[in-house]
Amino acid sequence: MQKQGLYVHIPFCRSRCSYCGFVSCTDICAAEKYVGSLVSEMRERAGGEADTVYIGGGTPSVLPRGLLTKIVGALRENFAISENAEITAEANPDSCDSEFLHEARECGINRLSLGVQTLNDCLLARIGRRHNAEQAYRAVRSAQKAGITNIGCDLMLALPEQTEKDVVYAVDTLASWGVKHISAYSLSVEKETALYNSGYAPDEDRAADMYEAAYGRLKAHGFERYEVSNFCKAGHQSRHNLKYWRLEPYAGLGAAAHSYNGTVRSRNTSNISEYISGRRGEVCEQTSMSEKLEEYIMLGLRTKYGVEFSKLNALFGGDWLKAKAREISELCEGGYIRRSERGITLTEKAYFVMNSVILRLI
Amino acid sequence: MERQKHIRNFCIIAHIDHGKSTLADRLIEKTGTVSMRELTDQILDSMDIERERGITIKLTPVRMKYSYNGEDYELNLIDTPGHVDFTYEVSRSLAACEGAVLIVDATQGVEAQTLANVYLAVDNNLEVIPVINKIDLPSARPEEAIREIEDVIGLPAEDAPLVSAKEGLNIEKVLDKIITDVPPPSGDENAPLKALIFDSYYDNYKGAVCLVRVIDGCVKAGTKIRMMHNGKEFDVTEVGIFNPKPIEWHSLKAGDVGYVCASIKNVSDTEPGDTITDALAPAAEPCPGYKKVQPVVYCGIFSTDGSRYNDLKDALEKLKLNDAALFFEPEVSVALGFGFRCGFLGLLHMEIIQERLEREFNLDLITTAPSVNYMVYKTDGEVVTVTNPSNLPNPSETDRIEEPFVKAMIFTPPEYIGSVMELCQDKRGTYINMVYLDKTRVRIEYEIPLNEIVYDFFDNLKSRTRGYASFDYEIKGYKAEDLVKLDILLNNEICDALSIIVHREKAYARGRSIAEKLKEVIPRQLFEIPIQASIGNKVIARETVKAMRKDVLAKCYGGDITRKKKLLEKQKEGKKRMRQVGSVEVPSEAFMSVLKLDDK
Repeated sequence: MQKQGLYVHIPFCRSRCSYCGFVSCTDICAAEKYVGSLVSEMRERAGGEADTVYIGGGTPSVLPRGLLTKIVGALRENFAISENAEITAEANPDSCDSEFLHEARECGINRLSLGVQTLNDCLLARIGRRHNAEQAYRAVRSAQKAGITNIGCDLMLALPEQTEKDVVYAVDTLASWGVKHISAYSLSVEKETALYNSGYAPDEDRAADMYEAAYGRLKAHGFERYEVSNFCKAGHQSRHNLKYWRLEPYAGLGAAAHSYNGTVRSRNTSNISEYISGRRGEVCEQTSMSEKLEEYIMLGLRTKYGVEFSKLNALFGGDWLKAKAREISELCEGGYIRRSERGITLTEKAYFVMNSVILRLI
Repeated sequence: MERQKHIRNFCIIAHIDHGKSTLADRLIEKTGTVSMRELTDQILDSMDIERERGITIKLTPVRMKYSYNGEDYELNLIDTPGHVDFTYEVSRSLAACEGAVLIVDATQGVEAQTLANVYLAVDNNLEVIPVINKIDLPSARPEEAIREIEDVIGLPAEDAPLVSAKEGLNIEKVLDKIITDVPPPSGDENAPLKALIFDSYYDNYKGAVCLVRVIDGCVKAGTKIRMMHNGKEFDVTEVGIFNPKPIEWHSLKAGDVGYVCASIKNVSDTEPGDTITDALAPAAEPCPGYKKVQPVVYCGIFSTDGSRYNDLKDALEKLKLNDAALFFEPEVSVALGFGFRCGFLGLLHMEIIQERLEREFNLDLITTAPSVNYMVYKTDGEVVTVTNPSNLPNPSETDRIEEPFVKAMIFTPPEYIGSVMELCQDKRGTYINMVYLDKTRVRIEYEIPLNEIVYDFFDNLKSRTRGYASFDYEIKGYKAEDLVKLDILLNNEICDALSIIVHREKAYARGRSIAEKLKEVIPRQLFEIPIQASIGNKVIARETVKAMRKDVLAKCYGGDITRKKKLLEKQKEGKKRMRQVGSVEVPSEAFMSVLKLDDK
């Protein structure tokens, strides 16, 4: 039986960032009750082995002390968590203090994902982040001191008024701090966020310029792109996130959390009070073989590993390569994909325009 | 003769919005033809589009009963389409009447279309009864409207009924006027049958139904009839009148208006203007004024989803059943695949057909830029007519190209004269005449190539005059001009569906604006796409759609794959609305967007 990933959603934040479209709430007092519901959900869904755990949010670092321990403890009680499991917690620099780090370390968190976003203080303020560059630095250093050295940082690209220089500076600086993993996401302006309402729309060329700038610096610092937006030092891929891209099973616990068992995708209610009151409001969706094939291509090509013919044929139920022969040869000729014995990967120039490639293949 | 003294056949002439349908409704209501319960607004406009647009396309006659001075009269109202595209149909309807009610809006006065149709009525020797409508509106100025009718049209109007069709005010005065002023028909019941077809429609059970005005003689079920122009013969199965729904009747005699069915399979055998006679005792001569209806505006129509070609074909065939003026033939475009070259009576007719295809048959269409009928005189003496720019013969084989011209009549407030004249000049117009109708209105006449009219003339006129100008045109004839084919190349390949025929002097400006417009609507793709406008091998304008640089789904947060998949599927749906032209994906809107170019 394949080992699964466990995702735990902590939907609490001290305040809401202007670009954020995720499910979160600022009423941290509800956290205690919320964790209670989480534990009940774990009991309901107990069983199976897990080799990755990802506690995301929201902001797990704002949880009142003790709750993180309670969550990880309950996970261990209900699921067989491997010895060498990757256990990640997300944190924001302003709440990633030594108390949090100490608790995280004690309960077995061995990877930290920090929402740095940028190291330009003006930009940070502009997008409604509570921290500044100084706090980001202290968070990284404190985590390293506390013994959590596998640190990943998120960066955002194409923020309002951001320049390529900001991006280059952030990458250079984070590299010098010794972080192992950097995610560089282009801002996507979601409807009903403060940023959307302000009318900001990122420019395609600017976003591409920044991505290229970030990519160039990351490469120079020895980070490998293993997914279109994720870069790491050797051996420091996010094992949990890889499961998403490889169609491996994961169980999402908590409000608005998504699960996948290999055939059925499901998600819990995104209404936090409903979740606290014990109603998970689960919505399930069976994925057909052809949908699975599309997902595999759509997700697989995001990574440096690409897609494998054996798996494509199995999902397709026939000779996929033959069925798509024309598209594949045209894309190869155009220099958008590379074909090997095993399968297909994207070329350098196709990464940031991959939808056009994917749409030809699905 | 005694019977005919109690018949009045009349029509209503009005500019769009001046209240024709509303007045017709009131007349029907007043004469009790339709019970109040049945009365929905604008009974005569039976098509949805007509009702929505407030315009009448198809003619629906109605018979009404009215008592005047103790005597019963039979009034036949023949509704007329109010638009220039249907001028010939209007003239045939007018020929079926002895009188016309001319509605003039008390707030707007006489308009271009009204004038054109009044002249038609006068040409057909009709008694014209002016009626001033919308007197209930605060901005009504009936005295001015009366003066305009007298000055502009030259009709006495001092005792014109002042009515409000909307409020039902003074409607009986209109009815009285019709009785007293419109002459009764004066045909001979005993003469050989002569019935003028002024319209026809297709009925699934009865076949083509002719709407007729009997001039002389009598027709009833069993009569063997002959179409005098077309020569075909049929046995009448049924005759009837409109009340306003069709009701079977024993016979139709001289002076009557009604319908004739004769198991006619094809509406094209029932052409408006043709004369029905008795095959066994034919009339010596048909009614005058028959013309073969010819399309003046053409465009290519394709289904956005190429696989629905057959649905499009079926739909056109169904519409054709009811619309003898609609012309279509298969056409193959390199860019758009299989479709049809369609011919129309004018721009409105074209729009209506497009709209009906989309609405009634649920089709998504791509239409190419409208074209007119060009006469190409080749060096070898051959003359070809060209309606599709792609078929234009090579310039080296061409002696000259002639294009149709129209006389355009524009009514406008004087403050826009400069702007209107500028537009007409810009559209290669030749000034003919300008008349001040009164202090607030001017009539300007220009001769303009139809080719310029079919682009964006009307929209442009409306925007330059803030909607105050009205406009009408009639085809005058053909003239040789320096015309060239302007091609559009996408990624160095000609996209035939975008080719247009244009005057050489305008080619540069048009080419530039089409290229600019296409740059806006063609999305960035994996490679850079040059857009070029060319005449022959000479490129006259160029734009570039830069290669796409970002087309990637954002972070998939917490394993939310479903949302990502939906985004990708949406993108995939969007691709379906694209046409692959060579290596370039062109959105279907692109073909339409070049139709509406702002010349400024």
